[in-house]
Amino acid sequence: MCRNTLRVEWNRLCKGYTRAMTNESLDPSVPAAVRAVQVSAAAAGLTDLGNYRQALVLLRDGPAVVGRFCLPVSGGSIDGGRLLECVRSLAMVLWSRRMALPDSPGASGPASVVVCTRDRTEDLKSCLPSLTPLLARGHEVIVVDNCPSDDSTERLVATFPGVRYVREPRAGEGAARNCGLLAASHPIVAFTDDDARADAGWLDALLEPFDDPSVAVTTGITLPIELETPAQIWFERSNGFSRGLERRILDSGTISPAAAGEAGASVNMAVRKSCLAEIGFFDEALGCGTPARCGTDQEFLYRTLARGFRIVYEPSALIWHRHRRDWRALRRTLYNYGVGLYAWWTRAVLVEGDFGVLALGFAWFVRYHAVNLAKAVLRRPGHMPLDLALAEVLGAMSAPFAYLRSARALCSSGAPRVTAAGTAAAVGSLS
Amino acid sequence: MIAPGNLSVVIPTHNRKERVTGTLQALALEAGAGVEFEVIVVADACEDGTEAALDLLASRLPFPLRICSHAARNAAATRNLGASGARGATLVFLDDDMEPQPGLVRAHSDARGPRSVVMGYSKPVYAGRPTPWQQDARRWWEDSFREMASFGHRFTYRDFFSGNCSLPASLFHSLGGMDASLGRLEDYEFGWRMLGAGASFHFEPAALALHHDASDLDLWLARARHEGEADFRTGTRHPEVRYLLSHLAMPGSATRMTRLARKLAFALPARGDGVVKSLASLAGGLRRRGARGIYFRVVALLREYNYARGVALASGGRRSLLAWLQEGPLEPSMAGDAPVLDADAPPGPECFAGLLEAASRTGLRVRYAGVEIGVLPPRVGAEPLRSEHVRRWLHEFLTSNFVPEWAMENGEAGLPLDVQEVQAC
Repeated sequence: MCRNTLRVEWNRLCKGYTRAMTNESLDPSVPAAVRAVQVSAAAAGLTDLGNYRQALVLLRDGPAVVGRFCLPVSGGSIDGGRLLECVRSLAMVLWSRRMALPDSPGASGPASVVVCTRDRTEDLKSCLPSLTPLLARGHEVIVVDNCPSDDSTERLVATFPGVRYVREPRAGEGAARNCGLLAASHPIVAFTDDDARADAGWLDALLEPFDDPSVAVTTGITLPIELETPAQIWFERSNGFSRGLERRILDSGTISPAAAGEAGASVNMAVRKSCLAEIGFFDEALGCGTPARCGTDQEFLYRTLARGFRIVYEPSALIWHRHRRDWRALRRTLYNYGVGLYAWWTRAVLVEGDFGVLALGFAWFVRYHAVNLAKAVLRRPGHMPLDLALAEVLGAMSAPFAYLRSARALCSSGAPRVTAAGTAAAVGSLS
Repeated sequence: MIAPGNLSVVIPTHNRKERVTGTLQALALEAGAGVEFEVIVVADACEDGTEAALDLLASRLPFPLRICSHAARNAAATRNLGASGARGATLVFLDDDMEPQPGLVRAHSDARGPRSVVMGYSKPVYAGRPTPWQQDARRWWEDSFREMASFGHRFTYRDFFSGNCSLPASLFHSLGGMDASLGRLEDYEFGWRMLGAGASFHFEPAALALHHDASDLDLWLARARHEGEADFRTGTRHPEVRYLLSHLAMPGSATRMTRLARKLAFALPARGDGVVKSLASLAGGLRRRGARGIYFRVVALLREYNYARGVALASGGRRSLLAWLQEGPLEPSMAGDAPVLDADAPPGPECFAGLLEAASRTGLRVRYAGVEIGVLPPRVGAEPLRSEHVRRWLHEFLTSNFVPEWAMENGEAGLPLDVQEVQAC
């Protein structure tokens, strides 16, 4: 077989794997069990699946998630032979991992982990136990309480010895994250959310790529803790946080900065603080708690790439996320995503002068949002529910005005905007 | 403890008074930490009062400082002058835009060997926010150093970077110093001769200096022209290096625009210079406005033009370049008697060393289960082949070729999961 034919065939094969591992085969009408299985234990199958009729099975090789399969459940179990078939289809990935040259030592030294929260003590109560083991290894855990309505978060954090509590009175995701960056004492700051849980080994994997001095940000894989409701399954199908199972190294030479959303999200992200002098802090006109509703992390990733730094997506760094359970919250979330995405693209045009974003934004609107909406209206097979598709489109259309409103509100409040000089001064005050 | 005068730090400088005094003050911190060395600053055609500033500073420094001056406007000649007056057994070359970090001289000293050439880690830093071109350059520098630090990296003469390096003075003098007639890339040419003389290259990340890089797109393009000239001149001294210019004689693989850029450089340089100047002034704006794809294509063309222009200037034109290229073989090829390495039955250590030595000159054929699975061709201007180079090649080959082919031949379901299973197959 000639080399070119081989390559074509190989690409086809890889695409086949990718298709097999997408979430599209999840049936939203019935709950799905979520289980992680080590490759070495796959032959034993899964037996504790109760009344579930489908399962999202994550195959792991050590800490890394190497495969993700939607499998039918019969009689509360999945046969070991079926799991082994899945493992066999991952042989190429597993082989590549086994043949890897010795890893570089990675970034040594402790890091700061920042969790931003706002009046969600129940979620935070589940999140913090997954982070406290990091304290014994010299890492720092900081909870940023963003404009709280009461002191319940502060009281909760007090029950976790060693976890630092910081209050940020200004509402907004960007303000909270910036507060975390300023409060952090270590050179690398990792972020996760209050509705997430860190997997064992998450932080080590997230810090490892920082041995490359060009890397300013690392992101990891985020998978659902549970898929119990149609809303959770639709979220995973349409807007899940996962960015694939392969390690990716992104920079402005390989990807347009405007496509920074591909790199990951702040639910699972680490930032090298020394790079903030060039990148700047999170834009406080974006994100939850502002009229722009979302996009502060993607905009930050955009500037990371646009300033010439690298982002590494590391699928061994796993965060478990609890998606919103009810349909109304899902619709609001997708609306927010629509607003946030086009809001930060608006910022990229207006503030950064990046007119290339206009073409990308138009293409994305037509090829993704408009197509989704059309499929939903025409009830094509596998279509998105109409209200969700519509929510995204409406969000996208209101985004430019939302960003302008948000920016104006920020200016009139006298709060600091992201500027290179201001950032440099802030970073200088940290060191 | 290092004996007095055992290391000589040579710093060539040209009109960078502030920067070079900063470099000396940074070195002073290290001298206070128990490392003894002398410093020789060679001022090349300085008109900013560098010598006077250094005279003032000398008495306050904890190490002997000697200041030489000349007006050669030539980096190689300036380094040679500094080295000629050095008393140390090891020469440390530092450019005047390097800011040594604590431990640099110690790291160069600790990494010494009889024929060791040590490249330090020169971390690029920029004043203010870097331009898009500088951002790319920074990544290029960092990637180059990471590659040198990676397992199984095979050094070539083009890895020698004289901005932050050390080498035995005896080696430097035995080779007659750097070639001042090249104008540019004198360090590559010197690296070629050092490898030929049996030197071994190393990268030492602890020999850290901040490289205050002031380059930009215009300067880089101007350098590309000088590099074209220097590559041609290096090729006239070392015919094996002619392969670098072979692409100019083989337009088949080039795009139409690349061929046009080369044609302009050789046939219509006056018109080409004008076009290039206009395009260069537009390039930065293209990148800032998000036209990244066009920017990268334009910059590649501008570099190609300038490089070809330099070659045209040095060679005297396309016809004479082609005639010169045809004087001998361009690419090193596998020798018919290249040794064979059986991956499934490797030779013992005593034979392996001899096999690698022969393979350095002729290339290496790698066989598995009686079938040739790949070749390591001979590399021009590279250090001798060592086992870690072969190991790295095998790893890259297996990952990119062998396993996919195995998957296609056997089907994905038939892929074994363990190394033992494959070996059994």
